Amino acid sequence: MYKKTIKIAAILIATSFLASCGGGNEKETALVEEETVTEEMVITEGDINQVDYILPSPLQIAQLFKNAGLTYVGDLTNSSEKADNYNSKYDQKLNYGVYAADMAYCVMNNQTQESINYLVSLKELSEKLWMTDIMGSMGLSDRLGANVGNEDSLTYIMADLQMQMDDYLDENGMGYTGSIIFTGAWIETMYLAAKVNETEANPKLVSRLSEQAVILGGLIASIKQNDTDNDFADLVTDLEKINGHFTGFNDESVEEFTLSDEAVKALSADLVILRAKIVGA
Amino acid sequence: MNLLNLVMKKIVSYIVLITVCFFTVSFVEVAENIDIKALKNELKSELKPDFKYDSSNINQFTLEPKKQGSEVHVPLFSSEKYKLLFNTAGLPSDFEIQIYDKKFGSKNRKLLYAIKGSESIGKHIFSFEPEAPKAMYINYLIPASEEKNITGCIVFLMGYKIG
Repeated sequence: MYKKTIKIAAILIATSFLASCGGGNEKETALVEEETVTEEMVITEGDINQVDYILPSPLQIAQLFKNAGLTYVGDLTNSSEKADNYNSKYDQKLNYGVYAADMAYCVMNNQTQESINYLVSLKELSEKLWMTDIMGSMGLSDRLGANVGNEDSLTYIMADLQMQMDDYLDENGMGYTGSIIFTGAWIETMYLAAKVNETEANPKLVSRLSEQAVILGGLIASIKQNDTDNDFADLVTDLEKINGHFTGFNDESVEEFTLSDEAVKALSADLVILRAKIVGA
Repeated sequence: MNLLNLVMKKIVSYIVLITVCFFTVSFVEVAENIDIKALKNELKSELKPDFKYDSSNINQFTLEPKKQGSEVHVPLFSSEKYKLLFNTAGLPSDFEIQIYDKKFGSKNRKLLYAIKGSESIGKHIFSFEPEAPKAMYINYLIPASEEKNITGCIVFLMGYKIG
């Protein structure tokens, strides 16, 4: 009887050793080949109890616009010297995003001194927001200086900054702050694209402005989801007004959505108003 | 002889008990001591050399007696290339990840990619590069469990490459 039990125990012990040795540090990259799977497991409505919204990095959006012909116009960005003026957490979060977008715009147009000025402003706002660890550990100024003129390296540095910020927000349970920072960055990039398009109409820029519709619904939902105290109700109202310009967009349709000339003008006007509210006069 | 039998039985019982405890404790440890940053870092290294970091999402949960699900909306721009990465090492039990072209509840939504934990033993990093990117909807499904105090997480990270 107990011979059998000993065997079972031996198997269990051996298995546990194998599990403890093999499972912990295993790093196996499973590149599953892309394929279309047609079978669907049945999911009932009650099974889905949480919805999250991914927001892209402001750098990616800035790069998309740059590739579509977003040229550099120096006096469009928000003055880096205004960082001192942002005293409420609301303003600091939004303008952290604005400055991140402005820095990306400068980095991609080889405006190194301007980029470093924005970095200083970002550092100041990050300290006000208690996010000092983000900037401290990266040696960003040195890395920026060492890579002057190398746009590709500079964009990797910006991507690192985004990664550090996301990690920090995750580790400190501040994911919600990310939505607000993103809002500032997104409005600023849209504003820059709309203003540059005003000076010289560019169908590629209009196409990029139009496809931004894919983000806005998720951004608004993400802010609403976490805004239990209605701190951002006005911002949501303003974003919903912007979203009104994209009513023809359907994120489940394969057809490309492009704003008409009139719609672009109306969108630009609302972006200017909202951007002015965010950065202040 | 009877005394020897008794002693052996006790030893075997203790061994079985210790083994069971080992399994239980290590399972709970896996769940409770998840180093999310380490899981994320594993995914970051999978982006190199072609993709830049774009965004990430941590989905944490505690096992419950009923099946749980969540949906993640991922906006993608059609002209770009993307790499969607999942680290499932923080999952203590069976799971499913499904990626659809439409959100939950939409008619005719198409399953584009799926991972089943039960069919992927020994793997914990998964990668999907959509051929024709547009908005995608990730569903995480965690099976029902009677076990208590078991927590886990799925780490999602995305990279992009400007086309």
